[in-house]
Amino acid sequence: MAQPSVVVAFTSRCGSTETLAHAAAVGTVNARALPRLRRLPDDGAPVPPECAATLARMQKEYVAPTDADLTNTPGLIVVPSAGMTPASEPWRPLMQTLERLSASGALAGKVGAVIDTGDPATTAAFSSALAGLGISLVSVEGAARAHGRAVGDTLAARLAQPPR
Amino acid sequence: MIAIRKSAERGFRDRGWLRSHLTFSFGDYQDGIPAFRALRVLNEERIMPGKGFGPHSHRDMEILSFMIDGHLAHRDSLTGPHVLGPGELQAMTAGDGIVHSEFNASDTEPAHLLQIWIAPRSEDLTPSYQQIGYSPEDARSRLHLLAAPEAADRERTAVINQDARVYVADIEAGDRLTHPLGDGRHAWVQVFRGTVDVNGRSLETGDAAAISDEASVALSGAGAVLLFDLP
Repeated sequence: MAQPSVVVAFTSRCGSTETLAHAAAVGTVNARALPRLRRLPDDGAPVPPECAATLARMQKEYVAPTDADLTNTPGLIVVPSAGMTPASEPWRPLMQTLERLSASGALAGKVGAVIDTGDPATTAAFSSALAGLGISLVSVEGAARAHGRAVGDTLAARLAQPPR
Repeated sequence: MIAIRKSAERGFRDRGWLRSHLTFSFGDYQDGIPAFRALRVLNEERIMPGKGFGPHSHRDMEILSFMIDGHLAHRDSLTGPHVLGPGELQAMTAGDGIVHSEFNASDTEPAHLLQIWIAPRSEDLTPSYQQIGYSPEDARSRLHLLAAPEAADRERTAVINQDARVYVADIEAGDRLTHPLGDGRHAWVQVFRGTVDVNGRSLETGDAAAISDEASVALSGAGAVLLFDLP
């Protein structure tokens, strides 16, 4: 059976949001999907000294999402750092790309989730933005891993349906 | 019966930062033999300084990393970070899902390792991470057990979820090591240094032997091997 892929896009400077992104990715693997972890570019804000080594590691280990990532994967999980909005600098280019893809119909049928990183306003803002672009958000109780699993399960169920 | 897999017959991929010799079919290399028993992947990797594999996922596989030279920095969704060096083996049960990254821990020296995938006895296991070490004396002129389905000392032998055993041996001139094979058991011998005779067949660095329907494996010469005893 084909393995659906899921972009897990996140921002992180000190590693705590990265941990949640990993948990969401593991959830997709639990559902036999293939996660693609993508870290958004930094916004140039000052970095706490204690985070410098972690930030340098993440800058080495991750790549940013590409248009192809967003076009070709049926799943999208966003993990925004607490306090951010879809208009915040790290997210704005991604959201603009999603708006363009939405306008062309390329987001039709995509399944997504927004991971709560501790700020309900951030979660609500991103959920509203993604839903407004036509991405079907999973509704599930639980933490990041449960959301990842729900996205993967939803995609797997679609693949299992016989073609019309 | 013994079948030889010469080093030069393996697949080779050069991505600049990574040079891989692929014993079995792997990724876009599908010209090789698909596997040997439960042994699914045996890649000899050279990772350039500071480079590595960014975070990626695995599922339903026992993944072993055996360092030949250099150091590997490892992080995963369970634990970490860990640094693996010569004389150490990392064993990771991917189970129902794990995310990890592996990078050369050095900015100046390449990392040289064998990455090994063994099919687990069942799916959806609980992920885990182990790292064990051995001294040169442990493997000198003997087969030292690195991984097995059970272990009396888990700091010296990694526990894997398959009825397979992995040994390392540093064979010196004049040695003759014998490993008995039980009924229905098979062996894969991978030479990673020197020249080693395996049941009378001479193997060079990078060569391997697949052994079935034999009572034992006899090793001599001067070199180092991993021996996989497989169901």
